[in-house]
Amino acid sequence: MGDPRLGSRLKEARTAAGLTQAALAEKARVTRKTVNTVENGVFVPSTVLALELARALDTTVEALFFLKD
Amino acid sequence: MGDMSPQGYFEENILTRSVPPSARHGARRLKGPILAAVGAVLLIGGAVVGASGAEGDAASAAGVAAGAGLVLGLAGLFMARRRDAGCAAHGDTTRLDQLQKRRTRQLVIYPAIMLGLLAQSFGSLHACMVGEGRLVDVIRVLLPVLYGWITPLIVMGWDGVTLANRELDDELTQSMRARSMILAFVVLMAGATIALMLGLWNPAYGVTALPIVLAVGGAAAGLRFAWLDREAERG
Repeated sequence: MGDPRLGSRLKEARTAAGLTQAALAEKARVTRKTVNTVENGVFVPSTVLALELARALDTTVEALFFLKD
Repeated sequence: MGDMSPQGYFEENILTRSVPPSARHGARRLKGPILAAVGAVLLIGGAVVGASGAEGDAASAAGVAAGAGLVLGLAGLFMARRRDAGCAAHGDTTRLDQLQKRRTRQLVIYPAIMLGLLAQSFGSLHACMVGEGRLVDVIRVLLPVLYGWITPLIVMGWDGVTLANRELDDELTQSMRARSMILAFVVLMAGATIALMLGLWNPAYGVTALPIVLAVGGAAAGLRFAWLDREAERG
């Protein structure tokens, strides 16, 4: 489910927005567990979910995810 | 005051009266339990008649009644559970967490119950294979197999709770479902192959292996899903 090439700043962006995992999950219409696994790099979100998360945090996908090289 | 003539009373109180939503909801809530109760009566009645040594048309009617009772009972339980879940579904994420935990618990408990039912069915299976099986023996053999369907149905998201709370069916769940069903498919393929080989050696062993294969395949899906869910919780 995870991919070591994918880096994530989701946790930093979420805490900067003052949201809990549960609150972000509700805004993005997913479960808290999904947010938890995406933050920890256990689960790679689809493009749609990445866009949903970015919209919920009022930012861009590129600001949330990046490729580790 | 309205028109008190019979015609006026009918128009005012019957044709134009709307049923309160709560009353409609209450009536709908009863459908599932009533259906389940009717199913249980049919199942028990059919099983009792069949077990009492009925023959011919009476035995056939008892079998049909028991089968119809089983289907009605399961449908009633499904409707009742779906209704309850739907009524309470005002989804905050904490509630979704609780529903997920409940689903995970079910996916561990149901296979355990199924294996218990499977263990008690072997005597009846032997009786059926030597041609001495009564209706109650057939039901005992079929019970764990039919019960075994519940676990994959929950994994697939076709249970009442998931259908009423579509947020439970998010991407992570779909990913875990795919991985669980892949394992279950491999287990079923391997089990069916072994059952076939046993059947070629001794047909009785092949038949005996089939309910085990079905039960283990269903249990594999549920237990794998529960394991992945636990791993996801840890992150």
